[in-house]
Amino acid sequence: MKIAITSTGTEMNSDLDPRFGRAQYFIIYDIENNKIVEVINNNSNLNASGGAGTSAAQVIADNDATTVISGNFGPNASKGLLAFGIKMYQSDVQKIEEVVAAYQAGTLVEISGATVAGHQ
Amino acid sequence: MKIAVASGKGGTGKTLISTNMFNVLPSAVYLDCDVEEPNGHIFLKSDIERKELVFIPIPQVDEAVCTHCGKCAKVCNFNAIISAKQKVLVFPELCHGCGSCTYFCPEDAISEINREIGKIEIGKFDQKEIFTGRLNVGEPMAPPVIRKLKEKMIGSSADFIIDCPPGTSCPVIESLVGVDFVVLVTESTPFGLNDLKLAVELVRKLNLPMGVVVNKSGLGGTLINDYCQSENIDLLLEIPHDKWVAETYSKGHLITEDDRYKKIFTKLYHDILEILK
Repeated sequence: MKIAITSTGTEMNSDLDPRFGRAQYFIIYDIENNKIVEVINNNSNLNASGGAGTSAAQVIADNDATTVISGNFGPNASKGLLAFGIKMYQSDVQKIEEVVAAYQAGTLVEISGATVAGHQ
Repeated sequence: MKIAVASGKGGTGKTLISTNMFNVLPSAVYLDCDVEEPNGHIFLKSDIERKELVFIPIPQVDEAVCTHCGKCAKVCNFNAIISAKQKVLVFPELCHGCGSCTYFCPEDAISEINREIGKIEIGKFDQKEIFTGRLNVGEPMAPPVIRKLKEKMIGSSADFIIDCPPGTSCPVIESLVGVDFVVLVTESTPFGLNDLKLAVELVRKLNLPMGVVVNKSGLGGTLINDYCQSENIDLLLEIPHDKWVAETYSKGHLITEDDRYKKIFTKLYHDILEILK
């Protein structure tokens, strides 16, 4: 099973990026094999004038991740992820390896909607 | 003659200039393109005789026909449609109505439905038509409403006064397309000058003739005059920082009801014609 984590860097010791749509990177992590399978640079969304949340949801779906962990999710992003059946978990900013450990320990909180308002 | 009144900086006096110039013309059409907060009607009082609704076409996906190939999401420049293996999702408020997804759908699974984003209110002031564009509250996209307003200009030989939105972004560009002359209204402050420079840059890119009106002249020295001189831009008019002007405007009255200003604005119009000769 693959999960996606928003990250400020490309390594297990990088910090989680608290923004979903405008995260710097998405780390796609294989839970069964305990390894990073893909690091996606989100630069085009980071600088998009609009629709970063929906586009990021598309990226997560395209990479077959069934769960995504970030700091906050906007209204369009959460709507897209929910419609695609992708689970959302919220985490504090900490190292990616700590995020993965917390997810495996079952201590992250699953959310069912937006945690922040949209941008205009 | 189609004259647009724009500014760069907000609150410099676009509506003061456009409503009063309109008032002194014997026949003309007024387009209020500041569709997020149109206020020309405060000065050009009229009954709304009719309304036209403004729509943009947004995609509607037939999930029974859709194969979830994802082409629609790939061609959308605004991330307004996304697609996964089982589901396509449209975000109407992100959609610019360009029609790309419908055009490129290989299965013809997308049809277009109309979404209302604003309206045009039509009335008469002093026997002259005024059109007020109004973007619905919460809608982010002004250009389609402005485009609909500008359709009134197509094929018309009438004089038009176009009250533009502030700034230098898409709504302003949409308002300036197809006009003959641009009046840039500013004030002689560092903010006024900064935003005037941006507006001048924009008007030059559009290759349109322009002139500057300084409102509240006397504030902040001669920095606008100096700038216009160095850039070789016509300084059309300076309206003094005058308490009577401010009072008249704040009551929703036209300053050209006064003979002195009537003459000044009539001259402004004729000076513009002279420049264009």
